[in-house]
Amino acid sequence: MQTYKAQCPICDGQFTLSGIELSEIVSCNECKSRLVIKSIKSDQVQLAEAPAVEEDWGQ
Amino acid sequence: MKSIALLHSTIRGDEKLILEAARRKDVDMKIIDVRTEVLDPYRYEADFDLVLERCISTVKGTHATRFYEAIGIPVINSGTVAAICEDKFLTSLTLLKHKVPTVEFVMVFSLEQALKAIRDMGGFPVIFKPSLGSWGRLLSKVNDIDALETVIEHKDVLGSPQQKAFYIQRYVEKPGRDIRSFVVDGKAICAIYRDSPHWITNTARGGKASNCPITKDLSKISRQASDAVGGGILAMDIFETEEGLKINEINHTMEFKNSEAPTGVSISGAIVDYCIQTLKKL
Repeated sequence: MQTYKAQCPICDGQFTLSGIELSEIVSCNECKSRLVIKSIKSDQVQLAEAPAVEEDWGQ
Repeated sequence: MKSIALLHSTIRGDEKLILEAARRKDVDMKIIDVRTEVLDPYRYEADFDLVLERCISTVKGTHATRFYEAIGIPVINSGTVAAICEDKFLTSLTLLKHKVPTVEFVMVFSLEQALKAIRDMGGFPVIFKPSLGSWGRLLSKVNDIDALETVIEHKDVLGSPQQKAFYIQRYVEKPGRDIRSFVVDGKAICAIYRDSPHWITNTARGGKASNCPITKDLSKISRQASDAVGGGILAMDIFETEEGLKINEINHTMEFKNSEAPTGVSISGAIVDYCIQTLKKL
């Protein structure tokens, strides 16, 4: 399975991810912030802070 | 070749399981983020034939479903099913109309009405729920008049207009658990018990999932409820009561990632199979 390099936009922690999809919510390995995968290019993913849970989310 | 679009507003573990199942079955499933789509009925160009609506946001999912159906692309679940299931009051009314056993309920708009309704239902405790809502948010178990006055005053002062419509359910004493059955095209494919010492048993609130055998009664009520709301892919929250099984709620964009392991059933695979069958009929 391909692995991707990622950097947390909150704490700058660096870690790797695998088996991911665009728009998936992941956690930073270091600061545990909720992050979303914004783009996947080559062996790099770009992460952003995940959107806050909204009132109409989930079932 | 006809294709399916998985419509989402964030990819959860559930959507990943569906995508993995589609890849295993060699099904072309396009991934569409509803937040990047312009739902313009004059210019929208769809390169898919069927939408599987999997938005975590009920509001976005509902609008998108209406849009795709309006431009001639069928959606699983249909807009009619979604409209019933996203609204707990409408779900209850629909189940009652079709004589499907469900938890006694009432809708009121004031403290005075609430007091009368609760007396008529047999007294406290009762459950207040937002008619639109999920993950057990803003549920209140109201044990007495003092709590009732407080809950209603808070909703009246702080709530949105939707929060000022009080959907009240009779409190059901549960055996420390409820049942969630996963129903595809009317058939209960598997079910879990959700055990919790708390009266709210949602797994999103810490309820523990374990396998629940599909009994004749569970299969029957699942099919009855599915037929009542219009079918499709549904998850039903069911209470075990002294009078038998009763439907509590029905979910039309169900979360299931924690239920495949305890049941041993590929719910994601069944979802993809249902999409393939629907696509073949188009």
